[in-house]
Amino acid sequence: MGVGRELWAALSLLDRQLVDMDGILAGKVDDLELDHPADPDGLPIVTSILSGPGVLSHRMSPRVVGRLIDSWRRRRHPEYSGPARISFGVVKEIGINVELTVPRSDLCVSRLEDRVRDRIIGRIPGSRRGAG
Amino acid sequence: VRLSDLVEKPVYDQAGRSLGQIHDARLIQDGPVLSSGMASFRLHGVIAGNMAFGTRLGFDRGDVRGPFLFKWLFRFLGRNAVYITWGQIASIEGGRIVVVEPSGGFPKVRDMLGGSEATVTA
Repeated sequence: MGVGRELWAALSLLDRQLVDMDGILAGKVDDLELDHPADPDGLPIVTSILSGPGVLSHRMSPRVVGRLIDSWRRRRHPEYSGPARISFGVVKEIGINVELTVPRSDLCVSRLEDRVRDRIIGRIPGSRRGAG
Repeated sequence: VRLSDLVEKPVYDQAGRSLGQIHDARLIQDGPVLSSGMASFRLHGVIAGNMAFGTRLGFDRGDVRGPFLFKWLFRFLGRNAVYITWGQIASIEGGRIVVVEPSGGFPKVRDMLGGSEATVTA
């Protein structure tokens, strides 16, 4: 990515596929987080990519559905710490996909998938046998 | 602030007149350097208007070239879309965005972005 590059957030970033350093799919860009600089006249800086089902519900209906899902999730899973937050500092390239410089395992983007594997798929007899 | 606090949210001027919704946000890689050694992206402005579909597909910007009929149609439908700089946004509260309109009005997106994105000034 060159300095001074210009892009449109909704057109070029939202819903793009995240790809980790090994080429493994690592979720989608569901939202962006921006920080206000200390200077009141400064422009907001994109700091993180947010990814995961909770973020998408916030986008679709932040007032009703997003808050309901968030509050349900926090009651049910007190350890829930919000959506996967991927620092923009690990973004290597923005093109058809958004390429990252870290492995998927460092991103916490597959918590739902991990829970389904451990609590549902893992309890099915024979599921512990490796494929192939 | 999240991008979703802006995109698809209604925009009003200080007199309460509706300008439609925000459809996209313009980022430029000219911010502080990140841990990766790359400059960060900063939010310079947004596009607002009543017709979202063509904007979401990029038909109102220079880098989407055709088909000609689609480009003409979407640019016609989105002819009232305006470009609002970040400094002109007065408040973002409760899913409602209030902007300060300059004396000459906001620039039209089709005039600014129809040919090349490089012609846009923040």
